[in-house]
Amino acid sequence: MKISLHLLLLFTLVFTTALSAQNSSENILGSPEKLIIGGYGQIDGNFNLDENNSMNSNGKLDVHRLVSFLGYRFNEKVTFVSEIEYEHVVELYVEQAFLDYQIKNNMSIQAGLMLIPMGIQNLYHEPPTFNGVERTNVDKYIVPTTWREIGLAISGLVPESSLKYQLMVVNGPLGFNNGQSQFSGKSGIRGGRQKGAEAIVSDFDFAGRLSYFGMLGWNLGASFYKGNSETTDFKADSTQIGITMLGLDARYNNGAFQARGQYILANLENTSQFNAYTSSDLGSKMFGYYLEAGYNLLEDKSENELVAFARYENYNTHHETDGINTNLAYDRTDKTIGFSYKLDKGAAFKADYQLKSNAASTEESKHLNLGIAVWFYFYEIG
Amino acid sequence: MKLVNYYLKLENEVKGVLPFRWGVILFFLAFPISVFSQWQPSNATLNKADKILSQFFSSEYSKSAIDLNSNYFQIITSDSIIAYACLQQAPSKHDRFDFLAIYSSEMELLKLRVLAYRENYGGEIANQRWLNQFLTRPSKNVQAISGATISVESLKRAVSNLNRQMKKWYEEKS
Repeated sequence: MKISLHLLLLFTLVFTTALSAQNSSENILGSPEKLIIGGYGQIDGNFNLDENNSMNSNGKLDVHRLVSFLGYRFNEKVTFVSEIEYEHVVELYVEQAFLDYQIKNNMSIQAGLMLIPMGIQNLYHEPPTFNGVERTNVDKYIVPTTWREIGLAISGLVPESSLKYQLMVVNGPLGFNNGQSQFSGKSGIRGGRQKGAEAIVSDFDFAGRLSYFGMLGWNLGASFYKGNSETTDFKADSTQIGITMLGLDARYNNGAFQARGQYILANLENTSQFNAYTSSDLGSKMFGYYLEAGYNLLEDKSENELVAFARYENYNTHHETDGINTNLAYDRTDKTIGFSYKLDKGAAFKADYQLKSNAASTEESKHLNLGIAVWFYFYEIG
Repeated sequence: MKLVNYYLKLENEVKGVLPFRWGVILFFLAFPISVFSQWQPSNATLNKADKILSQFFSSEYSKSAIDLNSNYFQIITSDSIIAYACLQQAPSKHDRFDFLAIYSSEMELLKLRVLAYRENYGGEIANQRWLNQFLTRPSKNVQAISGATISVESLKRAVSNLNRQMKKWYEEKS
């Protein structure tokens, strides 16, 4: 009888813990309403329309990105977020993987592989959220999107002031890897992204972003990045550069009208010594901006959206140089017009026509891009 | 098989103490109920809701849960119901946010406030001027916010469901 009573007690205990829904083993075992599944992707066709261009006259069809999102809410305060990305079908990356811990209402800390909060598209890069088949080139050559590294962040929301902030201590890009420069005059610091893959750390960098959303229809952002590039040879000063990046951006929408713009300035220090030591041609100042306006032609006519847009973009990875010749071909301008036909918030057909030029020549190359863009999230509503 | 034998032995041992088998069945029935049990607002969320309610209703009031949902309350002053207040949770991009909706005694939406937002994306929905659109137009006509698509769509869906639910409950009651 004594054993039976013990068993009964044990049974009651297990029963009540299960009822409380706070049991940690239950959270490990999982429940459907805590699981978040999502994904996004873009499949692109890029065609060069130049008549005399024998080099690039072939088109390209590409499953550019396919990303699976898997998240889990352990409890009200703790969430894990991950994104696994296939690029061009054969390249596999982890795009984000971090733990988010809410320390108080509207404030949390994150640790893991995270996006650097610089500009619009590095943070908001799900293809149906932007116009144009490809991401903007300011966000490729100046902001090396998708820019992500391992670090620690604090972020929060101040609803009374309509402000959002994020501050991050994070690993920097690898500029020098076993005798070779990872940076270049054409692509800036893009080649140095370590993406959290056995990343080399010699210095910690800082990044941050402040957004203001107090005016109806407007979303304004200011971003900064400050630190040093990483190196495999930390004894040699000339294998590192200092990076200071500043970004300002604005997005606006009102009924059928939408517009956005972005300005990024990157100041790179010690490039003269770095270039001399590594035989590289990295600029000492990089600069880029774009302005875009769009109009939904189906406003009030349909649930679908047909957004016609135009964009002017300039990006220069040799805005200034130190000790090397300035290459005018790195001062590039893209003019884009196109359509995004949204079949839903998360699914779109896209088409655009681009004229690309640079300051070294008077010629413009013509490009046609066609693509599909998808984005979805699924929750079991508990 | 070993597990079944162990269970039968266990059942034999506690025979007479309680209808053990019923207990086991109940346990497995209760498990999914616990998983889908109603959301319990945190103390921080409850306190914030109380603060907003006391600012909104300048006179003394008491509140009690209604039978529809233990997170929905009627606001009572001197024995008459003057309003209803609903606490709800809805998904954001990869978390959930808490919000408060205050309805008049005729089920007209009077106020909408975001009480707790738990992630980096979509916090723009906490903008009060944007939220006030829900008071004057159908949810589907509320303006989009660039960078907050998921949370905007989620709140639109949650508010229109809540409106429908509250109106139905009110009509059935009266």
